[in-house]
Amino acid sequence: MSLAHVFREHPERRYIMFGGKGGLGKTTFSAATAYWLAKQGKRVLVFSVDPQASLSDIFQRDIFGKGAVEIMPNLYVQEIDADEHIRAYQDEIRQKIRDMYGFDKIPQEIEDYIQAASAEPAMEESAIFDQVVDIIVEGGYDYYIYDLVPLGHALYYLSMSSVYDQWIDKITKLREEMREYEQMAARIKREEELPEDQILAELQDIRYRISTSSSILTDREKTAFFFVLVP
Amino acid sequence: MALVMLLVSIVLVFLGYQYYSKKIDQDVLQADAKRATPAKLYNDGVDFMPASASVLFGYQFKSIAALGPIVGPIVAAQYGWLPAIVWIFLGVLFFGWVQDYGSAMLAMRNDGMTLGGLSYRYISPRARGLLLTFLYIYLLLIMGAFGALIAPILAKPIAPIGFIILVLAGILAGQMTYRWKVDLMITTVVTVLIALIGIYIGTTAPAQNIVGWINGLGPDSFIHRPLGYGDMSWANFFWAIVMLLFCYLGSVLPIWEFAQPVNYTSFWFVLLGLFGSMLGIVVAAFTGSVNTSFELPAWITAYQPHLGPIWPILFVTIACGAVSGWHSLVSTSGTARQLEKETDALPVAGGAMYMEGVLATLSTIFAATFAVSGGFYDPEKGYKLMKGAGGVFVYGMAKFMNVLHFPMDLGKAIGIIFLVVMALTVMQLVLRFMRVASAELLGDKMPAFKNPHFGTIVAELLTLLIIVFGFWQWIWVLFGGSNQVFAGIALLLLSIWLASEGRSYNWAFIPGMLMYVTTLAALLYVSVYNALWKGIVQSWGQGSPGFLVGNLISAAFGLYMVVAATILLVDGLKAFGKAKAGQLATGD
Amino acid sequence: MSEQEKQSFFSKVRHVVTDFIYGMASHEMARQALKTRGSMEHLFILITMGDLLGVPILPPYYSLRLLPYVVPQVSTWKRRMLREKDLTDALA
Repeated sequence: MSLAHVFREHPERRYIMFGGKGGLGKTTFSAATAYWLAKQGKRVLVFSVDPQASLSDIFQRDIFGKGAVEIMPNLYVQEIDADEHIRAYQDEIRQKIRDMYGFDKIPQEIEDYIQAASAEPAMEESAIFDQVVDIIVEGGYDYYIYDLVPLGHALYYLSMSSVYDQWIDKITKLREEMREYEQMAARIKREEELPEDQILAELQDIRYRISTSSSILTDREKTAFFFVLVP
Repeated sequence: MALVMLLVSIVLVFLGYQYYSKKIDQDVLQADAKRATPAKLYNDGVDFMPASASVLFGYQFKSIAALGPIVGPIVAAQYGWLPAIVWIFLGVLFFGWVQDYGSAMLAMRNDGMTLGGLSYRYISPRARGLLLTFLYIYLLLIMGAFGALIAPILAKPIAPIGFIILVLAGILAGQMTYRWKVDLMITTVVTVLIALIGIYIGTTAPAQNIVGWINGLGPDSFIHRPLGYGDMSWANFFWAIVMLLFCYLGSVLPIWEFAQPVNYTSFWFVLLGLFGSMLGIVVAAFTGSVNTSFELPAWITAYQPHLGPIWPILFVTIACGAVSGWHSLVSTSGTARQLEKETDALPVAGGAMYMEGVLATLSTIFAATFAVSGGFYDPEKGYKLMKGAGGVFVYGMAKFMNVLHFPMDLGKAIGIIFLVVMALTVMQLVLRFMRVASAELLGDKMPAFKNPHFGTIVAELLTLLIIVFGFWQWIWVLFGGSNQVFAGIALLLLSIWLASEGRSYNWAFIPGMLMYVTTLAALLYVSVYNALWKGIVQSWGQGSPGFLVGNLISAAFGLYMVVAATILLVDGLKAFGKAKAGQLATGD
Repeated sequence: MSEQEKQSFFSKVRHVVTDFIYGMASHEMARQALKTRGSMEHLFILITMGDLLGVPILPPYYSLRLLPYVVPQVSTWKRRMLREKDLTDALA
């Protein structure tokens, strides 16, 4: 059974992952599959978060941390630079705080927190996970090929997504209950409509992202997972 | 005469505020509108939240105005209306506002600390523990004194049905606001109307018959209390239980569902009664439709046999109308954490106290005007207060509202609701607090107290014990005493802080010491002379067990408070001495 | 007093009177609702910014996303969590 057969038989399987131990040819398989699909006229994105940048090697172009790069018609390659992404993200958060409150400088306490949160190992994992979610939620390609890193942290997050979902459910409920009390106070004070709760909006967005991506990636119809093994 | 008295009080209040209070605020404490208050600095949306001065004025006034300023002057009028009114004026002008405003400033300038923390910081480490146990007894006495007063009023056939409908309307208001999200204006109109109709129905014959039937189920002498205490009737006992049940619900149910909406709906009747009767006085003075000259002599006696000598007893019976420790609790725990400007402290805390003085004057007017013709004070027995002090107020309020063509029965029912609501609002809060207090003080040793129902029931049983066995005038004096000692402690604390800051302190220290001496004397008089000596030693073998229990309660509470207050005084004076010498280490 | 001054005077008086009545009738209710909301907010900060206490609960990436909105509350939140309390605090 050739790989091509799988794609011909199941055209709805548009999310393809290659996993397994290091050095077994995950990247080779990913690249070959992507190349073949692109040749069939499908728009394909192949991506990885491997800091070793093996996709750069195989396509012989430095694409690390440069977003989705078109290698040939219909074939796009993206190598996520997690560290750079986290740095940019931190700056985005800082900028947002400065804009929201008109600060010149981030308060020490808050800056300390940003630093501490970013230094945690969990930060990189969750940042990568979010990037993957980003790619999937954004759409625009016929096929997504995910060249997993050796121990596949992102998969771990994927397996956690139902836990996250419940958890975010709970805090969203808490926010909504808070909202009830706020409205209660406004009704007693006879005040006009309250401004929207931005945290609630953010939470709903986070939840949307996690649940959309996890529902796709755990859907047997849409997703194919290949383990690359020693023959 | 009634109108003259009312006007005199308003003028005095104005003068005191303008020429004394403002001077202290500007020259001594130098309230600064630009200095950040704890409410602004620490606005955490929970304990600290800023609010405007006019809102807080209403909040403070409602929180401090309970039965004290209403009942106190009526009890005190047994010495004559003049000494009562003189002490109200002197108290408000030189003691009352000083304490209420001073403690608000004290808390504000100390990061919004409350009295427990402040006494630890400024008096001594043990002061905090003493203060908290003292507080528990004080709160229990509030429950007992208010409860003993309210139960017989509630037992009057014209009131209970209306009160029950009012409570139901309040519960409805809660559901409308919180569950059905109805506009507050509509909720208010609907529920107040329902309650008004309910109160009216309560005054009709069938409703009165129902209550009469309930009251007739048991004997007039349900609990036997000989030797002048007056037996407790079944009716009073039954309505005391109903009242405690109400407090129980208010204490354990979510406040959204019971305590708050019921208080909210009843509030409009308090407002109606207050403004209705004040307007009635003005109209009556011009139309002469009610005789507003005073029936009670200005001076009756310096020694009321069943109460005691005018000093110190009169000074503690008036309670909140002149000065009250309760207010310093409200000022520090509630208001000081909400004031958005330092300069708001005087109009809010001071202003509310001045207004309370006017309320106490109103109550004195009622007592003096209808004392004899209403059948409340008996001239034959030296103007002894014959019926409960609440009755005088209810009758007075109804009479003056009648001037505005309010039916007499409806006016009385509203007067009763007024008193009952004012008492129960505070009682629910106090019960809730006692429950928290017992959980914290005893929860580690006796885990049962951590259960809210258990703590509440224990507090209620203690309250019932006082209501049943305590002679209410003595309980009132004990309550007034504890209340005033609390004021003395707050003033002492204020003086220590003023001294430690190098500000002038006599305006707080002198009234504080006068308060201390007077209340300690009053507490000793009641607990040692009356309860221990007359009630237990002299009557040994003559009284029933109930009589003994009543006196034991008085003696024990009184003595504990004397001891605790004395230790606080000793520690406080030491700290005061150090503060004056600039050596007070405030342990932080 | 000119007509305009009169008007602004009366509107001021009306304002003070409505505030006063609101303060007596409903301020405590509104305050309690806000207090409840406020303590829930603190719970929320605790569980989303748990890292501030070394307890990672929400993935840090998402916790940072919420951070800008709670900036004003962080210091008062910490203060309230650490402040010593006694019974007289519970009264109001």
